[in-house]
Amino acid sequence: MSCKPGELCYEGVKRRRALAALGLMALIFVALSAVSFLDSRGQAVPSAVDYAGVDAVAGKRVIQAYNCMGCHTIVGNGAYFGPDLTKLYAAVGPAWLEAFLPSAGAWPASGAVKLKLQDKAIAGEAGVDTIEAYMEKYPAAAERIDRRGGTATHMPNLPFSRSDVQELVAFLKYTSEMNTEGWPPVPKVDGLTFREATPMPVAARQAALAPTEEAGQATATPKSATAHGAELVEENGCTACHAPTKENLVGPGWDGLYGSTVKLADGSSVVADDAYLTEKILKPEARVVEGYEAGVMPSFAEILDADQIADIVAYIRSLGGN
Amino acid sequence: MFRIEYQTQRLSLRFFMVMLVLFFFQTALGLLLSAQHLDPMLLAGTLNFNVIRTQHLNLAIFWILCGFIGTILFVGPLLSKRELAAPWLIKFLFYALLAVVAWNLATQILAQQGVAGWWMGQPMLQEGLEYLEAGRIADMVIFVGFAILCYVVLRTFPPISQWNEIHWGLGLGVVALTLVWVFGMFFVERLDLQEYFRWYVVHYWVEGVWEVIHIALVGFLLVLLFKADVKSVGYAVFWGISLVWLSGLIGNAHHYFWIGTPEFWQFWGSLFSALEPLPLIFCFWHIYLDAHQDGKPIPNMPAFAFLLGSVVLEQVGAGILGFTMTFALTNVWSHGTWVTASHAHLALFGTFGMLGLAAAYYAVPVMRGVTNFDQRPGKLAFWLVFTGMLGLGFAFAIGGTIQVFVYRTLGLDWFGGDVGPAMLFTKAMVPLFGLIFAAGVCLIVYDLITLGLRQPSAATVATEAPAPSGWGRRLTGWETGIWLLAMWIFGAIITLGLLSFNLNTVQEGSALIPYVMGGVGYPGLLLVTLFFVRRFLRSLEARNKVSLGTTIAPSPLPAEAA
Amino acid sequence: MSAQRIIRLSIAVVASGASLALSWPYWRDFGYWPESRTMWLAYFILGFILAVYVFYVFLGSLRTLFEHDALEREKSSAACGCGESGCKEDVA
Repeated sequence: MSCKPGELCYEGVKRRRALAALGLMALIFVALSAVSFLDSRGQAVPSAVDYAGVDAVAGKRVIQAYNCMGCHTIVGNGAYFGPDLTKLYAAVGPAWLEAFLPSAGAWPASGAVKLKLQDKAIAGEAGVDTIEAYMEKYPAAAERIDRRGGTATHMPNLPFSRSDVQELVAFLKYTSEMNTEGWPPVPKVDGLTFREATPMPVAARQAALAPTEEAGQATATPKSATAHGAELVEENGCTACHAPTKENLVGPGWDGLYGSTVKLADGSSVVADDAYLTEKILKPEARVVEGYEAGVMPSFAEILDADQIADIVAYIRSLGGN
Repeated sequence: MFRIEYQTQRLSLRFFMVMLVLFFFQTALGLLLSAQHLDPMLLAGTLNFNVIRTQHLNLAIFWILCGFIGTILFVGPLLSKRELAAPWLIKFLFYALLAVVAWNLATQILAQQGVAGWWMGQPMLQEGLEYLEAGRIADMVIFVGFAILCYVVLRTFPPISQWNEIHWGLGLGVVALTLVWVFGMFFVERLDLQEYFRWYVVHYWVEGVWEVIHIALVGFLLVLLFKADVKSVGYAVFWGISLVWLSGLIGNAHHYFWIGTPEFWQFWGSLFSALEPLPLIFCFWHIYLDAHQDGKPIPNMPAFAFLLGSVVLEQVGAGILGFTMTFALTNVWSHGTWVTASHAHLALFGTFGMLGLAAAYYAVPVMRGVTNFDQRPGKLAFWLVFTGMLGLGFAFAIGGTIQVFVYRTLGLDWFGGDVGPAMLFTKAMVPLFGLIFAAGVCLIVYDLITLGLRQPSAATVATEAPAPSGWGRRLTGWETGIWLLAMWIFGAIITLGLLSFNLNTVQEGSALIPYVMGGVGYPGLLLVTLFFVRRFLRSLEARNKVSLGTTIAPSPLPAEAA
Repeated sequence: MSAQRIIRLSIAVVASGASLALSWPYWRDFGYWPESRTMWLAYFILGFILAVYVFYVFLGSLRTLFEHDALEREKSSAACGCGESGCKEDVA
């Protein structure tokens, strides 16, 4: 029953022809699929991507385990709550990612990135070893540090271990190396002309504009040790992991820490005094606190001098405690 | 007189009830997500956005499947003219389904701790891939569940030599449902290969399998509702399904534009997914013709309203909105933005969700033996969810257009500082329309769960039928064609708007053209859709007046067909 | 070949041509051998023919759908006096 009575309609032929066309389409699809994943295509593969001795396949497991696609997109697929991750590594570089991921609740300031560049492996992957060269090579990292550094993000702190972080960076290195056929499109304008965008903070803009001598004079103004310490913890990215409150972010909060008795992982306990806090900043691995993992906090021995550490300890002391 | 014909049809009732409960929770989670979009710190660290979104997606799949299973169990005996095979297996399937939903609810929270349950290289507990978040353990139970459904359907059906097109559609549908699921059950190292196979499940489910089941079930519901001729419905079912596969098989390539697969997919995907609306247009005309075969009044308006909603939103959400963003030239902009969320909500809820609700509105009164139920809550609920969903589509589409401009054209990638503030107004519209939608959901759930159990209010069905003039006059084929043409004209405006992102003026920072085109296209399309469905339903309701004249005797439900 | 079929075929060709124009990936770079010029040409031709076929089938089956409707209406006698059935082309 497919045409007027008395008319030949060849319904059976038509149906067989449709199935034949479908078969041809299936063949085309299979053939195209087969040539899509050949080695000769030269697409990046995760097992061949190495980041600081870590392979990107492990990173793929981490990115799935944390369901990153539930907030972010990757190659454009996923949720639209956070930015796309595909080309992030190429834009911000490894040191920024290494500084960001352990304490994702806050945007890293330049100090935290600088600290990561002390690590030979990270500097090697970045291809530069000073923060100035890094900011030049990775303008997206510079933009993040200038505009967002030190402020809170909308991402929760996730319990990434040290190896999780490295594996994630390895995976993002792999996706950056992928040929995604021209997606995402490269913008042709400097985005910061957008009217509703959060403006550059005045301080960062002035620092960018001001001649270097003036900046030098500015730091010469005398300050109290506590106030200087408060500045240093922002500049060096300490506050990405430590809150000035009782809240434990990645590391313990500072409010009430000074003078309290801290239980260590080996079962002993110690009073958090000047000597202990100084040691924590210089050699964080020496005495690990119970409930925390070794290797999360980096050493600041190469970054801060004795006076600066004393000021930071003074600042922590000022936050109270016994 | 309208009792059900086969006792095992009653097994569908429990699936419909679970469908309603899951639908309610899915909507509630959706509202929570919209609140989190407004305040990203809401519940951050306690119940992260990704966990809630996962549940929002998974519950959507679960309740749509519940609707399918319920409908298949209800029509299966009618199609086969005998009781369902192995009813105990269906009871088992039901408890397995509840267990999987509960298990998945519990395991998805582990994503906050990064626990996937790796064992033998596979994530056993949850795997963090959009739509396929369920871990391997749940995957296997789901696979067994599908296999049970296959077994029951195929054993219940008559011998293969007696199959008509509806049998073929449903039979192939359930088998393919099971087979395609297997492609999601492996950990794949390469991202491009993993996405390639992930779309096998997602695309071929939605566009290959669900669409086929949808066409077969719509066809049979039309047979039930209008006593349409099975043979001519069979013709429509065959060609509907063929067109789905003729366009959708290679059309899957529209997911392979930017995942790292070669460039030729951009051509194949664009060309064939441009054809994907054809089966939907075909299906739409099919339902129009069957509804106008004779001038008899529609006995069960809520069921028909949801069926019409399903076919119209399929046309608008899957067909037109899908078409606008399916070309590599437009998709390069819309990909990974809210523009796609607009399409996804209208298409998934519209096409498949509304079909389940239509079937429930048809089947529940029959199974409860209610001859004469109050149809007003059902009709009101239809308008609430229909309007709410169109509104959601509008908010997502406009928000997406802004997002494309800010994120892709201007290259601003700070969601908290740049993209979010720019989209704030549309983000606020989402919970607004979400509340309208949720009100409709509550009403549907209340109405269907208590239907036939609550005390019927007096003067129930003697509702005022609209006059057969103005909005209620007969809807001719020509007028329908003009409505459809209007939808496609607005669709073309949207497409041109997305294409305009390729223009130099837009790339240099002027959003005028895409904003104006989107601002005209989206509201135009959605309003035409709204008014068209109103026009269609009014003209059908007016039939009550025409044919009943003075006597107010509700015509009985066509209980048994076939 | 009847006029009907010629009209249907022409519509299918025009529609496929439009789809092809929209699908033309103007940034192609011929980088990989299945993306070489010859292969692209083969894709365009094969794709176009298949698209014409699908459009043609669509129009044909839609037309039959309306013919069925008219037939059944005749069968169930003209009690309701229903109208026309000829709006096949306005959706292509």
